Amino acid sequence: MSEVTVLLREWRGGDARAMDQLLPLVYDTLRHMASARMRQAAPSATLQPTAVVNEALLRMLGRDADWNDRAHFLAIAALKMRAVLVDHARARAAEKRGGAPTFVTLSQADLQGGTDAGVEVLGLHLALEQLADAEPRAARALEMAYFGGMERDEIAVVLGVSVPTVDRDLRFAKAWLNKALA
Amino acid sequence: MTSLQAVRRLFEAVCDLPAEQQATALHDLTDDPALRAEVQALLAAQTEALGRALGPLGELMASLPDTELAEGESLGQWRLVERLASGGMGTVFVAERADGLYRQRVAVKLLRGRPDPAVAERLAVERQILASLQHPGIARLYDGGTTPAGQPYLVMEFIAGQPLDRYLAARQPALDERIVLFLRICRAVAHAHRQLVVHCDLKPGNVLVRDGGHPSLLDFGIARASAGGGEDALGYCTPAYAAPEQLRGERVGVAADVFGLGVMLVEVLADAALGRSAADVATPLPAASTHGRATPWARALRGDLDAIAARATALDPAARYPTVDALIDDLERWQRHEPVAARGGGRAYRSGRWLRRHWRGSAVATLALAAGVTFTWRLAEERDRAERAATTARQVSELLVGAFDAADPRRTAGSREMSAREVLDASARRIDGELATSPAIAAELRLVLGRAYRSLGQPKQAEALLREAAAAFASPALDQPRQAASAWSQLATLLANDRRGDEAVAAAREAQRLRGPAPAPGEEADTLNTLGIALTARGDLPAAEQALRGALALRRALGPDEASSVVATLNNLGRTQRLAGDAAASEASHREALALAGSLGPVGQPMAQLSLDGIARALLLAGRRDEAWPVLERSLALASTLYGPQSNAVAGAHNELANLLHDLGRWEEARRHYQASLELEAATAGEDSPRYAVVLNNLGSLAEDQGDLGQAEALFRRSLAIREAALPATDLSVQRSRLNLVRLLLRTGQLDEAGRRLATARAAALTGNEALRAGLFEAELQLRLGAPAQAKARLAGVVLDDSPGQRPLHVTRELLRADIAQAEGDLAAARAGRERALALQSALTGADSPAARRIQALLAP
Repeated sequence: MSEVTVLLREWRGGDARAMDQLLPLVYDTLRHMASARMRQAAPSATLQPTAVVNEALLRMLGRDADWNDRAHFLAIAALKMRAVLVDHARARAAEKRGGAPTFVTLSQADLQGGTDAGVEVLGLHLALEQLADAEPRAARALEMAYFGGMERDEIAVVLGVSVPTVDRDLRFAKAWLNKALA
Repeated sequence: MTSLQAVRRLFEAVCDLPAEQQATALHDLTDDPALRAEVQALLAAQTEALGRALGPLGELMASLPDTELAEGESLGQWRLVERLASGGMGTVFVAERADGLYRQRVAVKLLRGRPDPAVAERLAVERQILASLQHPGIARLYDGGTTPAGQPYLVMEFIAGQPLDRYLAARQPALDERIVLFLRICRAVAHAHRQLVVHCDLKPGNVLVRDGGHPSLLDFGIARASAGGGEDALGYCTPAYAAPEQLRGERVGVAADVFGLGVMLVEVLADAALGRSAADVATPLPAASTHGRATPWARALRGDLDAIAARATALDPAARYPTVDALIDDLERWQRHEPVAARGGGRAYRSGRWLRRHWRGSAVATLALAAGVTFTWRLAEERDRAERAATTARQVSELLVGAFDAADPRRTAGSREMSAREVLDASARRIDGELATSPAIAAELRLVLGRAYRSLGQPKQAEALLREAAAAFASPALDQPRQAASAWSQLATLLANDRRGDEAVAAAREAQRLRGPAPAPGEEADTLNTLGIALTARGDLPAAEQALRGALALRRALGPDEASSVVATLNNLGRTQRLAGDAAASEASHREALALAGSLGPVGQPMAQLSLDGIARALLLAGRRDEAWPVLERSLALASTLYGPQSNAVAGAHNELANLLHDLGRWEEARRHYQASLELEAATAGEDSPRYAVVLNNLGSLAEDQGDLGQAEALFRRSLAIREAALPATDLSVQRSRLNLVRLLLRTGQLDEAGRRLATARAAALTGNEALRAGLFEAELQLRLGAPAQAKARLAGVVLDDSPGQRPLHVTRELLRADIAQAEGDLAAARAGRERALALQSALTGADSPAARRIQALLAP
């Protein structure tokens, strides 16, 4: 069993400290893999974060990981993938605007009209935060879908709810997000 | 605003219906048109594709920079050893010199962001300035450059410490230490500001605290330099600590750092993070005392510290402290209990601060005030006269406050501050003037003021007030015997401290009598403690120790609230044990007292000073002078801080230090400390007090050692005259003083007077060691009168034992035997006796002490 698997199981067993050890491990792996992939790919190539997350899964858990471990790992990876991208978006926004604040509000993201991917990702991040205030489970489900590429049954096992509940959460959250970012 | 939950309920109720039915269904479910519109918009939005949100994610991924240098790789002359952290601004490695010339660990920080030649160039310029920042509280910037891929990096001092928040969580320092630590951070920031460098990203993660509480600030000026360089530039900031103007992208400067420090101050005081976010840009911060409700010191935050933190974190930069130095000044004022600038300062507030400043030194006095009031309350309950007593207590408080008002510096000529003494004097005068018709209140106030005078080291005034209070409480008009007992008990301690043992014992017995046959445990403990002190002053040491042990047992049983009383009794016990010659037991008692006092906070400080003093004296008794020295210096410094330089606690500490210097042969230093002590005793206890006589006597001994026998004689005579006037003839110090004069008279050949003085001393029933000393002097007198045989016979009657208190007497006896042998012509025996004396003296005070050198001189051929 890999170190990550052990930590995952300890975390699922209720040991919060295991999560503290797991998060930086996953963050570093994701960042490293993402930039390594960029070096290999053509400058114009786009790469979905979900692809990186799945590659990290293979690397950190192995090919024959338990389905349950896999779902929980992806949930963590989604969280960290979001952090990787938001950190990067903040840095980029700062560079672009020559010292503007390193975060934006939703309205600023709207004003920018989606011309900058960094600002849009920040807008997405903030919209998710707002949604999380009122509907935390729906926001978390959406995060797993967007940043972790997770399937509805995987999300259901991590959130501890039924698949139809996940469906309803995702349906509402997507609609809300689309409207917020429109 | 419509609630999102309400929107979702409606959304789910209608989303599965055919599109054309949704509007009607919604209409049936709610009358709120805004709610309907919102749900409609959501229903429309869900038909759009997901790509709208996913597109930017992929695009952003594509721009992730290639900064992943790994451990083992080199950058310039630095080899990356270990990756420390990744986050906010980039990745940090521990690195070492690649050329291995010397082992220096540094921190290498790779700044995040897309390689940009403009940024790298700006950083290179800024590095010159940043490298010039040299301050122990700021991590040095050594070097910097760009990676082969064009990524800027910085090489900084490696600090082996913990981030501020983690340090505080791990160590849980007390409030005072937190302020000291925070001030160190402020001073580092102030230093940078004087070099025209602002930080702009102050936060706990940028403050590493080493063991011992020494902070080092990281990343000075880098937030700005790496982003824009201009005044309004801002690269990386942390919303939780960033000033509002910084979040709005406006010009930032010193005021932004003041704000960042202020947020940290709130968190340091409250022992909890605030967790501010960018959305809180217009929300004032909570008060430290509110946020830190759970801390044991929450109450202490209310008022001044809340005001200081609020001023530092004002949302409007113009309302903040204009400089970090101003913030430092205010915190230092708080430390000194002076009024802080952050609070405008009405008179009530300022006199409150004044009271704290002058009476904290005598935390005992403040306690005494509180105790006086609560005691009245308790009495009231027991006697079912609650109302009357409450009125008394309130009037006493009001009168005191009135006295402080009257002493307001702004009402008196000049801007000079009133001394604590003058304020007490003003209060004492008001007793006679305004309270002549209210004997109960007058008596209460006399008791309170008497305690205050005693605590401030003003025994004369204290004695007069306590005597008046005791008489008034015991009078038929008031008939409050327990209050009278309290006054007698205070008085007994006071008299004992003034070495008036018999009077002290009488006062203690009076307190005991007034408290009746079945006192409460607290009162009984007080009686025994006071009795122990009084018996010690009278020289009745075994009985004193028994009483103190009884008091100690009672007070220990009273629980943690009585910890300060336990400390006091331990100190008293230690003192009695030392006087009985048991250095080890004495040191142990004082050390236990010191440890316990340390756990009491500021209130324990005066008692800690007494413990230090006791430890030093016990060490001196045991001949461990080198260990005693630093303890005495600590004691003197603490006494000065606590009681102010004009107090008899400081006088006592000077006297102790002088004694030690005297023993060490550092005569001029000893003389200066004796003189300082003498002046303070004259001002506080008076020139006719036994305390003053002690120092005169010691100065006489010094003059004697320096060979100025004329001055020594004059000083001994003055000391003795004061003691004979103030104390009974049987008092130990009178006996000592007489014999000191006899010794000098013998040395100067004034044998007639020496004989008369010895007879007087004998008539007063000498006790213990003094009787033995007298026997030795009588033998010496015979010898000097030319009668060695009588001298020998007298000497045979002086039987010494091995107790520490008698060790100096052994030296005297050996010397006397040698002198007798010499007078009898037995030079070998004379020499052998002096050699024995030298060995004994060297063991006592060291081979190069003045006393030992005098004996060596006798041995010289």
